[in-house]
Amino acid sequence: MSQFEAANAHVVGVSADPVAKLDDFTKKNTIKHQILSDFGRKMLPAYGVMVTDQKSPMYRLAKRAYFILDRHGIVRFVRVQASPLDLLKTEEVLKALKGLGT
Amino acid sequence: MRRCRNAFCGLAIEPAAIVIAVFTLGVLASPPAADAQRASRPYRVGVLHTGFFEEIPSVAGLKAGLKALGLEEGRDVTLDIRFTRGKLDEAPTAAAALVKSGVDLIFAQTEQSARPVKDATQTIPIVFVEVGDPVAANLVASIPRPGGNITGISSLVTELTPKRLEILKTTFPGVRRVWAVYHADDLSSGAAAHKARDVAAVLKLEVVAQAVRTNEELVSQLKTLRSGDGLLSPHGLALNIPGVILDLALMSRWPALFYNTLLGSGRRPRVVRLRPACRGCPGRPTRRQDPARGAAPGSAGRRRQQDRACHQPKDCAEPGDNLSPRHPRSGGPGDRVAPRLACFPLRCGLDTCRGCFASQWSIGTRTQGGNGMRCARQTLCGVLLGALVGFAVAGQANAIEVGQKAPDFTLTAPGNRQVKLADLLGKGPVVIYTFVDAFGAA
Repeated sequence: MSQFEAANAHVVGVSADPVAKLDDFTKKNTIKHQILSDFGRKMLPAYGVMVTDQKSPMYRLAKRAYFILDRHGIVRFVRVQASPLDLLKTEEVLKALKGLGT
Repeated sequence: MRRCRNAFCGLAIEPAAIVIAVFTLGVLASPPAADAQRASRPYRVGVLHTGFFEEIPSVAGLKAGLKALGLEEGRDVTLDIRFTRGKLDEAPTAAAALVKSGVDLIFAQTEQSARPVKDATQTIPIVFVEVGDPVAANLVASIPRPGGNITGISSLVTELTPKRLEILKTTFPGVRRVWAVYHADDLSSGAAAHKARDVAAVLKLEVVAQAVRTNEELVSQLKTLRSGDGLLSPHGLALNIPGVILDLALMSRWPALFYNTLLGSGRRPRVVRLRPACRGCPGRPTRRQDPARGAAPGSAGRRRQQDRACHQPKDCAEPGDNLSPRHPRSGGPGDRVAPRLACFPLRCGLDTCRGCFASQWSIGTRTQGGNGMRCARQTLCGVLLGALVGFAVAGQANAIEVGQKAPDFTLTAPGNRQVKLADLLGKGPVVIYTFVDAFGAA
């Protein structure tokens, strides 16, 4: 995480879980960076990273995806993982971040 | 958010099964001495369950059953309901509190409630429901003779496991390896997982039975899944493993098989929507099963006959032979509450189920008092439902692309603070990742 700070980048995690659940989650896992809840499902569909299911309209969860925006809000890097269990390695994200040259 | 209004709609198995529990309860409460006592004060029934709110289907079934017996809540019987919101470590405290409050009987839902209650008292009668395998869970000595101060209903998790595996294999022929992940303290699911491993060879499957204790262990186990793997959900809700598996199955298309407990636990009401109303199912009654009819006397002989027809060994698919009723038909007090399993030909069942995979009836219990064969078909419907969950992924939009202006958002941070994308930008680049909490953040 300090590496991201060194790159002057802000890291945000977004999930469709309710705020209270994320609050627990943050404390339990001692997460330092910002975790945000999109319980209203506004951001996830706008970014196209929500799993939906026609048979069950209530089933709307976040895919595992990574975005890097530059300081002007332009998308510079997108990676959507096939499985929610596939984490991207920190180094890979850092590499992409450095590639921006911002 | 649409909620299921009818307490039974989530899970049809329970109300029918619970009626037996209530009858057991009636038996326990019927000695003359108790009758004399009843005049002075209502029975106090303690309820302990692992649900997330007070009124779960099991409790609704209990109330309906009591009412059917003519016991009115408040006048004849009072319920002291405690629930642990899925937290295993809270159950012993809640059980001790119930015992201390001096209830006349304790109704425990799931193994995770029943075991602490059993540890807490040797005198107060205990009736359990939704226990996957009471023998494996060390709740009873044996099904026909439970012994001690405890009796209840088995969900036949271990006995049904071979059939579940078979259904998974039939529905997803490509499955080669099945992961049976369960919480180390969930003894029923452990027994089921080992049973699955024992019968795997018959189905040309490899079964990996894996106990976990923490969410991290669970996630790291699930990460080792590869193409051709399937998942067998545990019965217990500890660590919300069924929920995690369900999310994973829906997101990554892993074939997965579930127990109905998941549907009825009140944990994830959205799952209920995967069970469309069963219309056009041949030979089905259209009206909902009346819980009071379940154990109605008189039709027992007819039912036995139909059961026998349904249990013809020649009809059984190969691994299904493992599922022949193992409980004696008569004998000890356990026979009253031991549900019997219907063994049935798979070929007739599958076609029926394509049209109606929502079963309102009970898995493997005789309590419905209906036609044996029909019950068998619906048993399969109920079991197959889980397998069908794996098909359910649809409609995925494309992600935003590089070079686009990122859509603005306002989201809620812990502490109900609103955070805008605009606030994050400006200082430097922003790395956003999206996740489901159960699968871990990074």
